[in-house]
Amino acid sequence: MAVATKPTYSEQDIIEGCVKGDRKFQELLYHTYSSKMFSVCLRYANEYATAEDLLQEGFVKVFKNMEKFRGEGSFEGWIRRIFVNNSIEHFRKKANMYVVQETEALTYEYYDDNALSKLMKEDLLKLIQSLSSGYRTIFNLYVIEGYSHKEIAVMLGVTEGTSKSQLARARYLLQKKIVDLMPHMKYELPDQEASI
Amino acid sequence: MISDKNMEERNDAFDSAIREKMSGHEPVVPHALWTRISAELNESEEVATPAMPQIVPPASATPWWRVAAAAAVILTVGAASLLFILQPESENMTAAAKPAGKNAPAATVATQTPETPQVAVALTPAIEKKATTPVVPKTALPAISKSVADKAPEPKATQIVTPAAGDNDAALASAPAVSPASTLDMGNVPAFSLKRLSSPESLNDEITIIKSAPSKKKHHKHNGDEETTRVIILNKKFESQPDIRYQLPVRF
Repeated sequence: MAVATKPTYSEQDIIEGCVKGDRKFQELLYHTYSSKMFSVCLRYANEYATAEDLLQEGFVKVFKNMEKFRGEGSFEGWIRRIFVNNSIEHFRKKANMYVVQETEALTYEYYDDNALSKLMKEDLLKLIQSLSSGYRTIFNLYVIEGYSHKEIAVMLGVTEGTSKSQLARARYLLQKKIVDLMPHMKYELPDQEASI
Repeated sequence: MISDKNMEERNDAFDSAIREKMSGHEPVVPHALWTRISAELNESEEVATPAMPQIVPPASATPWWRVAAAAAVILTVGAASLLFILQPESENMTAAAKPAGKNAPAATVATQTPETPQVAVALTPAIEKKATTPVVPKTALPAISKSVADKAPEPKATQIVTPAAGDNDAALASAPAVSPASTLDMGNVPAFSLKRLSSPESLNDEITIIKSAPSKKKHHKHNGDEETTRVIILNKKFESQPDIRYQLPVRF
């Protein structure tokens, strides 16, 4: 008995089909990358509904600009960049950049790496979403996307010092939120620090 | 107190832990999202390409009367250009070809004829044979004579050949010599007559011809003295107006 198997398409076939506007290949591309791109949108968004809107806008932009992909670099990286830029554009007007004073503490003193390891991904995602849009954007760009402060400054139109200070403040707040989420670790950490 | 170096190390460790934690994160995407994306793509494509192009006649189509007017103008200009090219210096040609009323008064012809001898002298030997059946004797005569009269400053010379009042025969007899039939039908004009007219010196030859062989039909009521006098006056007239003298041959 013959078993009907789904036809397999290469990445190039999917790209060419999307360039022609074939809805079948567009859907195939969507199902291939939607989960990864939705993770990106969730990190930049402050809530689930907003992430859905960002995902929809991002895929529409991908399909409309598919012919601009020249094959330089990975296709996933090209799509990811579109989603990141779309998210930045979405929150650009809402982002409030604060210049953190040098005297302010840059690391939460009660934080420990064990706290993060015990944390669930969804919980960590909610903590990131709880940051203000300015902190969240720079934290995502520097920590997760891997951009330098110089690149972030260009992308957001701020100075490198602002990017650094925003990142420091975002890191401090996130560490504090992690410790606050697990109060039992808060009391264990001083002992560890004292032992050091 | 945490040192700066220790602080940087702790921050790098924290960033790495966050990156590692979120790297494998692939949340479940809502199923209805593709339907929304597909609908948005369909809407954008419908806006970009209209459903059916309407076949509407162009609003700026040229109306028929404009085409007709343009054609009429083109034909008129073309005909005028053709006439000008064929006979570039015959500005009196069109005037002579103008049809006049059939019942043109004889007095008008008679009063206009005094100027025609300038032409009649030249054409008499050439078209004397054809003059028996003039094509348009009455109508063309006033037109040509009028054009010559406009340039003639001496109306006195015309009185000599003016036929007597009521003597339409004389006027009509002289008319065929300058009839448009002779001007329009160039094939009937001998070359020697044109050649003689083309040079100012040929006027004396013409005088001789008229003297030696005057048309009996044309001048049967005039004696030889009158004809001689007329030619002499004409000769003077031509000498005073060389432009007219040179133009005359060109008209034929």
